[in-house]
Amino acid sequence: MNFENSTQIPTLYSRSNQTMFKGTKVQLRSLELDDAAVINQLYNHLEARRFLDDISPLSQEDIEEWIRTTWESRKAHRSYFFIIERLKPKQILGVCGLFAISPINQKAELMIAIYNKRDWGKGYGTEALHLLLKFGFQQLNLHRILLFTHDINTRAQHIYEQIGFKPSGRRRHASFFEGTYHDILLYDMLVSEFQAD
Amino acid sequence: MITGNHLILRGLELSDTDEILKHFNNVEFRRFLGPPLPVSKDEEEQWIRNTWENRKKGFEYHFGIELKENHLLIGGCSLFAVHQINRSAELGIAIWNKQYWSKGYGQEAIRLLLGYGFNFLNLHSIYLLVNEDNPRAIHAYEKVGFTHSARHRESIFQDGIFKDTLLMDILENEFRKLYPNSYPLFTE
Repeated sequence: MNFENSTQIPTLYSRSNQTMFKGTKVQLRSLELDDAAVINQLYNHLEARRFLDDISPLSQEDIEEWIRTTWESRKAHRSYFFIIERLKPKQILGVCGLFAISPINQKAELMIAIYNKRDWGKGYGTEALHLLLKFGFQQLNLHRILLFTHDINTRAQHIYEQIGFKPSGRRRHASFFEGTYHDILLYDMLVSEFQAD
Repeated sequence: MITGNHLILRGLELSDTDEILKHFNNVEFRRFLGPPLPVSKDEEEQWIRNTWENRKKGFEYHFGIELKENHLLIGGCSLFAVHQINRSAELGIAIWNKQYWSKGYGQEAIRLLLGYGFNFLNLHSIYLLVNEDNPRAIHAYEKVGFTHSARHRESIFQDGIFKDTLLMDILENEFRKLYPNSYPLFTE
């Protein structure tokens, strides 16, 4: 296998050959049980988990179980999770999803994680976000998509603002993070504010 | 269980079902409590049983609001979505008997519930969500000491249109400053 640079870990390659929601750099596709080993390797890393809610280690079986629940909750229209996969060369970058869907209020919460720091700052997250918003607004008929982010995660805030999310307030001291309480910021976007291209 | 000047907060019992259902299947009362789906007696009993389970697990703490003078159950309140690491919880309250609105009972129940959260559950912050069209509730939360912290734009579909939901929160140190005598009981 030929990887773009020598530091890539060969197992980041996935055998999945799905193409579903495709951009120019990345695509969003369903999680496969096959992905558990790759996620296990990337996710059990404190840096990748810094801003994600839960910092306890996960076993590969935990992850497989979670992957199965993403299939179930997709069928039940409760949440939609995707693998973010780089197109060339193929490599798993992270996970994103719409969850806490309220069918009557037509709203969902959004999450995204690019696990490996090496893959940050390359526009992968921005493109994945755009594909996910397009899916939410144009396929799921959502009216509003919201997200929460840490006050000190300015890199993420910058990306969310660039893509058109509006800062709508905060939950004060809502997160105990690295020894002290931090605010959690709320961002949201209405369907009328979404720029499809 | 938790006693204030006019109210007692206590655990819910299956025998409360009839009193709750008298008011709960009423569209006016349910206006700000999500889509008004009807509830059967069995479902309500199951819901009460769930409050016991969730209490044991430390997920949710539900209380009935009872009048001290005649032990009439006039509403319910709860701390839920308890986050063990962040020490935060969401607050909810409903006085279901309209006859007892605007008498300060809601505010007293909220103060007692905050005292429970900060003095017994060791919470650091308590937040709530309220419909922008519910000025009576917003006023009560402001008077108790909650701060306006965020706005969920067009987040609730009600009466045929999307409306905003306001997020209000209060921190432990703010509560202690406002209510230095909250432990063990309120002396107002």
